[in-house]
This record gives sequence, structure tokens and C-alpha cells, in this order.
Amino acid sequence: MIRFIWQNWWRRKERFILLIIGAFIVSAGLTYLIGLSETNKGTIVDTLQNRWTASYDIVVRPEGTRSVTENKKLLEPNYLSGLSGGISLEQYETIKAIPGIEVAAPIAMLGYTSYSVNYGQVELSEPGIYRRIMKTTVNNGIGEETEIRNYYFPINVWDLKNKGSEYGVAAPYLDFLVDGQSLLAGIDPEQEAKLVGLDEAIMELGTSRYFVDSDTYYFDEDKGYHEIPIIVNKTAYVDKLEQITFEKLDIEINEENADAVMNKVRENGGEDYLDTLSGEVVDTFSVTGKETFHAFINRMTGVDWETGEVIVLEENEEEKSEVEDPLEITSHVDEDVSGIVFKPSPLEYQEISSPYADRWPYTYQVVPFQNNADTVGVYQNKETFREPKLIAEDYLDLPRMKPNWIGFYEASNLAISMDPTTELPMETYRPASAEYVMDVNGNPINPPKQLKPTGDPYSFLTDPPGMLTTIEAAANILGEKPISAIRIKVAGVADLSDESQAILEQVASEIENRTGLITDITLGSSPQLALSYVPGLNGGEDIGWLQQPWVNIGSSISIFKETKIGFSGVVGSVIAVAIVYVWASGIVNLLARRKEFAVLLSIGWRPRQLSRLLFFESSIIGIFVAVTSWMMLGFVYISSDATISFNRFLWTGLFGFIVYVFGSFIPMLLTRNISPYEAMRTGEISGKSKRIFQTKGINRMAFNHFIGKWKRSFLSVISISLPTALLAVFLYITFRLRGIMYTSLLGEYVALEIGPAHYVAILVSLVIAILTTAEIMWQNVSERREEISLLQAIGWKRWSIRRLILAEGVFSGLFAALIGLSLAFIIMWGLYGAFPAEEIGFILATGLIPVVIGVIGTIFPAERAVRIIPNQGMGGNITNRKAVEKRLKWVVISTSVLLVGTFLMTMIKVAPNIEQANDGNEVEYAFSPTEGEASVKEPKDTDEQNVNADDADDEITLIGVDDYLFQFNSSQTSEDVGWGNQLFYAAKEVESTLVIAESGMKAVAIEFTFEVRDSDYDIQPKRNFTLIHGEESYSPEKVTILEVEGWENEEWLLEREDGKMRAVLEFKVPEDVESYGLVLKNKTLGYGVLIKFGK
Amino acid sequence: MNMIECKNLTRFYEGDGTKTIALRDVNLSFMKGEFTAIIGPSGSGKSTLLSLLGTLDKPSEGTIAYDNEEILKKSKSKIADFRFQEIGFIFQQFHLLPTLTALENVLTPLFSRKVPYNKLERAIEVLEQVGLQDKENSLPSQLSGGQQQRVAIARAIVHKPSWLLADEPTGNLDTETGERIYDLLRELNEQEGCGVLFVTHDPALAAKANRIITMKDGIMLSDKVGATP
Repeated sequence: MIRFIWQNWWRRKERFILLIIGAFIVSAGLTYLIGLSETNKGTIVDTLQNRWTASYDIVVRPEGTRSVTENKKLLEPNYLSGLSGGISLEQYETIKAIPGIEVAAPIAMLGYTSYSVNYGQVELSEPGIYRRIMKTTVNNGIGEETEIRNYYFPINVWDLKNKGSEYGVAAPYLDFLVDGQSLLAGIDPEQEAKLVGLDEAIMELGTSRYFVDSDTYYFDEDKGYHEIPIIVNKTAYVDKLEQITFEKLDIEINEENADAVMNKVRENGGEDYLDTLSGEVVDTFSVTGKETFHAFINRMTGVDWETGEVIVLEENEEEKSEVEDPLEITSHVDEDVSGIVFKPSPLEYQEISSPYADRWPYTYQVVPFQNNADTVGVYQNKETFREPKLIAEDYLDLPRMKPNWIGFYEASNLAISMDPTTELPMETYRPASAEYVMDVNGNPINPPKQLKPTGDPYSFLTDPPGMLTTIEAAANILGEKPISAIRIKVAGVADLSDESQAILEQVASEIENRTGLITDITLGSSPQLALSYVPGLNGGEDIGWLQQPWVNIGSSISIFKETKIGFSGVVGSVIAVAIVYVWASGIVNLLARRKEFAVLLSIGWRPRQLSRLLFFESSIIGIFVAVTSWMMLGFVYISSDATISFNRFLWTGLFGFIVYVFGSFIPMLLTRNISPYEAMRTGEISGKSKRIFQTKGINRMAFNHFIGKWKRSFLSVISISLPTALLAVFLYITFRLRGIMYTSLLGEYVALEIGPAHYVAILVSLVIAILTTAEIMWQNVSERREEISLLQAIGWKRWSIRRLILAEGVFSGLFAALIGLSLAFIIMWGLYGAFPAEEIGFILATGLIPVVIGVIGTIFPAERAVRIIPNQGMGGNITNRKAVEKRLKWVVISTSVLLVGTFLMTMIKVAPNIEQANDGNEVEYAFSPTEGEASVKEPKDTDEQNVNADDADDEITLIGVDDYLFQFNSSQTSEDVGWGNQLFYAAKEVESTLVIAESGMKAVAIEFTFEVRDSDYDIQPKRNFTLIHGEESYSPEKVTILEVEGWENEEWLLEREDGKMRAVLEFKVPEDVESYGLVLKNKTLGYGVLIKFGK
Repeated sequence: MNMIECKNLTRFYEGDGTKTIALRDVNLSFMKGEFTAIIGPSGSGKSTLLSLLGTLDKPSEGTIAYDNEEILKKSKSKIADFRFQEIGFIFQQFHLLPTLTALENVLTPLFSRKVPYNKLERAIEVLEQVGLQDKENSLPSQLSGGQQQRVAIARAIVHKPSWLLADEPTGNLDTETGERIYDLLRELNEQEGCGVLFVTHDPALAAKANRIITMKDGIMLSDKVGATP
């Protein structure tokens, strides 16, 4: 039997090649779609569900807090930071009691707490008029903003009593006093721990711990302040440098002429006049915002209280008002008591038309707030991005509080998405990122700059909360309605599905009914890039266009759904087309051999024997397909270490087998209808022939033939129309989703990850459709040999015959287009309930594809028809000549090798990409920065090379800038550059003890000495020091500490213990490195210190 | 099986409202060992009669009894088995399987059948019998018409049937080759003792048969004893 089958195939080689090609394409297609893409699809599902998830499913807010942007289902990043109260504790308890709610985490934005840190006093003894210059430099990422405030005072020369401000001078202000603002928020410790794992993010540092029940609020009646427990964000995000300089003015003044000189100063314009005078620097001090915040925290941890070094300045009440900070509460009381002055407020956006609607469909303009004369001092008559709101109308009513430090938390350790590529800016634990992408004139900024928060409560970007307290404390300070939002997590909602959505909707309406608050379902939100135009303030130049990832509420549910539909649909259609192909070829095979079968029946074969024959044939091809798939998968598996589960591996092959075996069932049934009597008949096989038109020309003749053989024509039409319909639908979905898809990061990711698989699938189906058509037309031509040779005999031209056959292909294509497009419209109607009026043009254009397919499928059979020689007898193409055998053997072998080779090459190329893309994301995830500078990379940059390039860029900018806090040569010390008062720092090269085995490398040893003189510095030699050469940087291989004093926790060199360290750092560098720099960068030294070695 | 008996055999085809009667009320009986020719013009129903006798088709009315057994009432498989055991068919167009060699073609009826003899030896034997021992491995396309028909005859006799039914076996051949095929059939009839029924256009060939049945318009005109005894 096997031999019989084999002979039958082998001696009809053209058909056999078609069969083999078909089997290869089916197995390759199945291998790709089931074996490989499924893994890919799995990744996407995981990615969607795990990475793009917000920590909460529903957000509850008070009435009227939705911003304009929410009309478009867009939430601005860190929208929670701009809300201020509105929900009562009662409402909160009500919500908590609603069944099904797993976590209800309230947040109450208390406001901005001001704090100040005094770094000591300048010693001025020489009589004269002095100038205190307070220079604040804030780096907002785009540029540095510098603010200089001058303050004048006399020392030992002129009595200030009863003198007004017209003299331009005031009481001596000798402090190195720096202040800052930090957002304080109230949370429910228990719920917050459940929601984002805040308890797990607490740092182990001294007595640092999470809130416990005994951490309660207390109001100190005597002193009139609130005592509240707080935990503090260890990371400060503001990049600020404060520099205080004292200058002695070049003005001749002594006790004798003081009055005269000062009167003259007054006459010349007081302070304005003094501003014009030059001076001589007496002392200078600088400190970064981080350091200030750190010192403030340091003090609160109790460390500094022990030494009691905090000096309360009592004499400067009047001067304070002149430092443009009349609200500086700390000047009146203990420094550890600070005040809450400003309430958070939202930005006001106005929708504007987008300059590049394709890229940024959502564009807004920030509307600045114009303050009037009634506004509080700092903002009086000025423009601000947000409306300044005081926590109390009357200055004296401003709440004062004494924070009781409980612990530190590290925001990067929270259980929230920290991957900058997939950031969903809903959590408020990190500053919102904003990229400066275009200047005012629309010129792109390349590379885009990352905007940083400035620390101003009413700037464009706000800081995330720097301190957290309890809801109880918040309620006591803010009164009746302290909570600004409640984040809800609902039980039983795990994945993005309609069921989840239904549960959430139910819970949300329950909340609305019971509390009257407004709810928004945030499950399935995805990041969405939006563009904001930021104007300049107070007559300053406009800033330009900023791009920010916003939150597109609920968008990923639709993307996810459509992705799922799309993918399953496409895979389903490939399988359907494959089955149709297998059926078609089975039926065609049967038709071609019908007479043969009739003869076999007439010579005594049982009908069942015929069925068995067909079944065997199909099984053999099925096994061949299965083995081919397994081989391909195995090869891909070995060569690209893609992981393929055993089940999937098994099924990929089995599936091909099953398709072929099932494909044999219809022909098997059809054999029942074969009567042995057919062997007696001659001439037309199908006695019936339908005709609609009278045959008048080639086209009508072809059409009549097409209709006459409608059953088989239908098969080819179906096999072409299925992929056509899917192509049209997929293209439509793609175009329709453009709005959501290509502009949201998630959509872009999905489109990039799934898109190719879709197109490959459609391509595979179309190729199979070509094969089906070819197969059917082949049979038609075979059956019409006599007809065609007759036509040739009566003088038809070759081209006419070709046209006759091709015309049939065109008809198949036209019918396929008709059916395919109708199917597509039905699917679209089913999916969206609307007709795609806008895209109708391009959808109709896809109707051209089946026509082309029909024609391509017919070319081969048409050529065969043309070659029929009028007098050619029966069976002329069946041969067993040795030469032909050999040649055909080669053709078959080389075709197979070529096909398999091409497929494997593509697979090997594609599969590692899939892996790499995933790896790339993981890498990024792994070093996901904990600070705000991380840039949001678009998913299309996950291509490894780009990632590297980006990283390299970052590195260069880090090292390339020679903007250090200060720098000197190895022969100098910090004293030589004016830093002797703060610290002593020097380094020299010494003999290295490192043994370098690698060739081309050498060891460099540097011994450094570091002594603290004014305050604490953190030094961790292994981490803080790097050796730089050009753009390369090296970390120490070995650190030997020679001498150390006052080194707390192996991190802090304490001033009170005369902290000092002498150590040897040993580096491994390339041999050609002669001159290099030693960079010391730590928390307290801001921009770092560079010591230059060599030339 | 020794006898085939037809009673009131009628066969008509219905389609598109018209009814074509191919065979009308034929009563005939055949004995094993007879050499019968069926003669008549085109459309006289002789091929129809042959296919009914060969169980390839079923009569619309009437019965055919093979040794008093109505085989056609049995299942398709049983009918196939009957055909295998008792009947060998020879067609005008030879109907060899184009992808198989002469030997393989001869073997086809024996596929998946259990027989008491060696299949291959039997096939070679019958090929020798028809004088084609040197053409075993030729494809039908490499054989002449007469050779092809001889292969077809070999195929028809390989399973030792009691009856040989031939539908215009010489119709596609020239007179000389036709003669040789006729002689071969005659030989088989005499040596193997199987009944031969053959349809022909050629009165000269028909005249050589033991019994000549003349058909016209589906009706049997005459049934007479031929020239040669």
C-alpha cells in the first residue's frame, strides 16, 4: 500500500512538489504561530497584566476635583499631589466597610512644610558694612535658575536703634541658614502597607521603623503645636545649591563718620545704592538642597540633639521679613517645630491643538495663575503655575507642628512599578517625569531634557511627599475633611477582563451611592504621552513643550481585548485556511483520481480500501508535517535558546498531523459516491454543468466554467477570502487604534510586539491560499486537457488560452474579495457595531489582494495549459525516465532545503529578537533608577543597540561635565581652593600593591586624606570614589583604610568626633593612562570634587 | 459460479425531467465457459448490460441472479468481494493506472486481499500468459495500445475470475492488434474455462463467438449461436 501511494506521488512529480511545498508552508506556519508566537503572546499578556498595573483599581475623589483633561479619560501624572481634602473620615469608614473592598488607602495632602537648617554662623569682627549674599541655584533639568538676594548689615560701627529700612541695612544676620519645603501627606499606615508595601520600604537605619499603633497624634496645649509621627522619604529630588557669601563692602566707615556715611547711603537710595558697591569676600558657604534636607532629617533623628548644637536665633525677628520670607515660622520657636503654610493645588490646563497630532494627540497649555496684592508675600502680584493656597487665612492660625521622626522609607523599594519604560504615573511616590522636547518655536530639543522638580510648591512639577504621617494627625490638623483621595483595591480583581471590569463597576457605584463621592476605575490604565505647553512666568520667556507620560484611564483593557481578539483571530484564520487548503487538495486529489478509483472498484477493490488509501496518504503527509515542525522547532530551540514548553512543542507537530488527518475525512466520504460504473463512461466527468451566460467570448467562457465547477471554485474562493477578511479587519483595527495604540506607550509596545506576528500569519494564509487556488486550477486544467488541445487545434493563440485560465483565477479572486470584504464588514460590525465609513477606501483596496492571489495561483496551471500540445496523448506527463527522475529528485531536494533553510534563518533571527527584546526590558527593569531623572524610553527603543547607545549617552553626560563643586591638582589641597573651612581633602599617588595579571592593564594607587571641619560628610570609599580618564571611569579594586576616626556606620564622618579618614584606593586602568582625575561624589558633596593627577 | 440469470432487466436514467431508457426488459442467462459477443450500434445498451452483469451498476427494475443469488442486494463491500472473486473487467480505454508499472497494475486487484497463491509469481505468470514478460517495469505511457490492453487483460485474470467482461476491448486498436487481443480472450476461455462476455461494434469479430446477442435501443433483438462452435 505504502509503495502504491509512493509510486502515485513520485510519478506525478509536479503535483508532488506542490504537495511538499504546501506541507512545508503549513508546517512552517504552524511552527511559527503555535510554537513560537504563542510564547510571544504569553509574554505580552504577562507584560500587560504585570507591568502596566497601577497599585489600585478605583480612585475615589471628592466632587469637583476632576480636571478638564479627564473629559478625554486622561489623568495628569501624580494628580494626587494636587488635591487637597474633601473626604471625611466618616466617608472613609463607610467605604472601608463596603464588601469586596480589599484595600482602601486614603491619602490626605496636608501641605508644604517649611523647614530650615542652620549650618552655623560667620565670625565677623572687623567693623564695617557687610553684605550677605544668598544665592540659590536650582537646576530644573532644562537650565539653572539663579536667584540672588542681598542683605546688608553693619558690624561694630553703627547703632541701628530707631533706624528705618531706608538706610538699606538691618540687624546683623550671620547665620548660614538654609530653608526648604517638603510635602507632608497623611496616610493610613495599615492600608498603605497593604496597597504599596510601605512597611517593606522602611530602611534599616538606626531606630528607623514603620508606624505602629502607639504612634499617635498629640496636641501640645502649652506651646500650641501638633506633635505628629512621621516617616521620611530618604530620597530628595530637588537639585538645588544654596550659597551664602559674606562680603565686606568697600566703604570707608568708622565709628566717627558712621552717621554721615549712612546718611549718605540713605540719600543715594539705601539698599539700591549698596548693591552697586563692590566688596571683599570674607566667608562663603554652600550646601545642596539634598544636604539641607538631609541635615534637617539628621537633626530630627535625634543625632544632633544630643550635642545640643542647634542655636536658636532670637534677635533676627525683624530681619527675617526682609529675607523675603515673612512666613518663616522657625525663627520664632524651636527649630524642630515647623509650620505648614501652603496647601497643594492643581495645575490648570487648557486644551489646545497639537502641533504634531500624530505623535501627541493630546495637547494642553498650562494656564498660569495671576496673583494679586492680597496673595501671600512670596507670590504677591506674581504669576505662579498653581494657585497658592494658604492652609489658614490668618498667619497666626497656620498650624505648627513638631514632627516625631519614626523612620525612613525608600520610595524605590515600594511595590509599585518603577520601570521607567512602563511607568504609570499614578502613585505620587516619585516625581512625575517631564521631558523638554520642543522649544517655543517648535524646534526639537535633541536629546530631550528631563525636567526636575524645583521644590517650589506651586511650580509645574511638584515633589512627591517627602514626609508621611497618619490620617489621624491629618484629621487633627486639617479638620473635618482631610482626605483628598482614596485608592481602592478590590478583591478578586486580578486580570484585565470584562469580569474584573464588571466587579469594579459594581463596587464603584456602591461607593458613589453610599458616599456621594466620585469614582474612577483605574484598572487597565496605560501610560499615554501628552504634550503640554508651558508658558514663562512673570514676563519671562516661555519654556516650551514638555512631554509627559499621562495616565490613559482604562485604555489598556480595550487594547488588551483587541490584541487578544486580533491574535486569536489571526491564528484561527491561518488554521482555518490551512484546513481549507488540506481539504481542497484532498478533494482535488480525489477528483483527479476519480476514474482511477472507479477502475479500482471495478476490479474488485472494496470502497473501504479506497478510504484507507486516502487516510494513509494523509497520515503520511501529516507525519511529515509534524516531523518537519518538530525539527524546525528543535533547531530554533537549540540555536537560540528560546524556551518552548514541552506541551506546546508536542502540539505544534500534532496539530499539523491532525489537520492533515482531518483533511482526509471529506475525500473519504466522497469516495462513497464513486460508482464503479464511472469506469465505463468516457468523456466529461461531471455530467452537470451550470451556465448563466451564453458563451460569447473568453471571459464568459471562463466565467461559465468557474460557475460550472462551483464546488471546487468555492473552496478556492473561501481559502482566499478568509485571510483577506482578516487582513482587512486587522488593518482596520490597527488604523482605528491609531489614536490609542500608537500614541500610548502600551499600544506602541503591543503593536510592535504583535504586529509582525499578525502580518506573518496573514502572509502564511495568503501563500496557502495561492497554493489552494493553484491546486484547484491545476486540476481544472488537467480535466480540460482535451478541451484545451481542441481549442489549440482550432487555432486559438497561446495567449488566448492563457487568458482563459487566468480569467478563472481573476473570477476566484473577485468572488473571494466580495466574500472576504463582506465577512470583514460583518466582523467589524460585530466588534464595533459601526461601519468604517472613514476607512472604507483602504478597506476596499484590500479587495485587490485576492484578485492578485487568484492570478498568481493560476499562472502555473495556465502555463501548463499553454504547453498542452494538440496531439498529445493521455498520461504524457507521467514518466519514470532515469534522467528526469534524477533531475526532479534534485529539484525536490533543493526546494526543500531552500524552504527549510529560509524558514530556519528567519526563525533564528526572529526568535533571539523576541528574547532580546524581553531581556532588554528586564535589564532596564533591573537598573531602574530610584530617582526622578530616569528618562521614559519608548518601547521601540528596546532594541538592544539603542539601549546601549542611550546608556552610553547618560554616562558621557555624567562624566563629561567638569562642573564639579570644586577641583584642584594633586599637589594642592582643599585649603588652596578656599574650602579649608569646610573640609580638608588631599590625595597623592603611592606605590600600588595590586598584582595585575592582565596584559595592557596597570595598577594605580592613590592615598587620600579627608577631614571634616564644619559638618558631617558621608564617605564610603568603595562607592564614592571613581577614577576618570577621558570618558572612561573606574571603580576602586581595593580599598585599604589606614586611619579613621568618627566614622559612624562606616558611612558618616562626624564633625563632633573630628571625623577623619586616610585610605589607599587602588584602581586597575589601561597602561596608557597617564593623567587622570579622582572624583569624590557623595550625598553631601553634591556635584562632587575632582583632583587632577598628571599633566 | 456457473450461471448468470437476468430477469426483466431494465435500466433507465432520470435527469432534468427526461427519462432515458438504456435497457428495456431483458431476459437472458449465461453459462460458465460460454464465449459470448454482444453487438449493436452506439447507444443500444450493450455497455449498460455489461456493467449490470459485472455488478458495476444496479438495474432500475428486474433482477440478476448469480447461481440463484442476488448479489446486488448485498452491501457494497460484499459486491466488491464478489467482483474480486468472480469477475474480471476489460475496458475499451484500458484504464491502467498511469503511475504504476505493468506489473504493479496487474497486482492492483490483489492489494490487501488474502489469496492462497504468491501474488508476485501469479502476476508474472499472467503477464507471461499475455506475452508481456519483458515489459514488467514499463509504465503504461511507455506501452503501445495493444500492449496496454494486454496488461489490462492480465490484470483482469490475475485473480482467476469465473467471468471475463470486456467492453469493446478492441475498439481502440487497429484490426491486427484487435485480432490478437481477441485470440487471447479466446485462449483464456478455452484454457481457464472462464465465461467471456464481450461487447463489440465489429460484426466480423462477433461472428467468431459461440453466442451472439444483438442489441438495439435497449432491447435485445436476437440471441443466436455463432459460427464457430
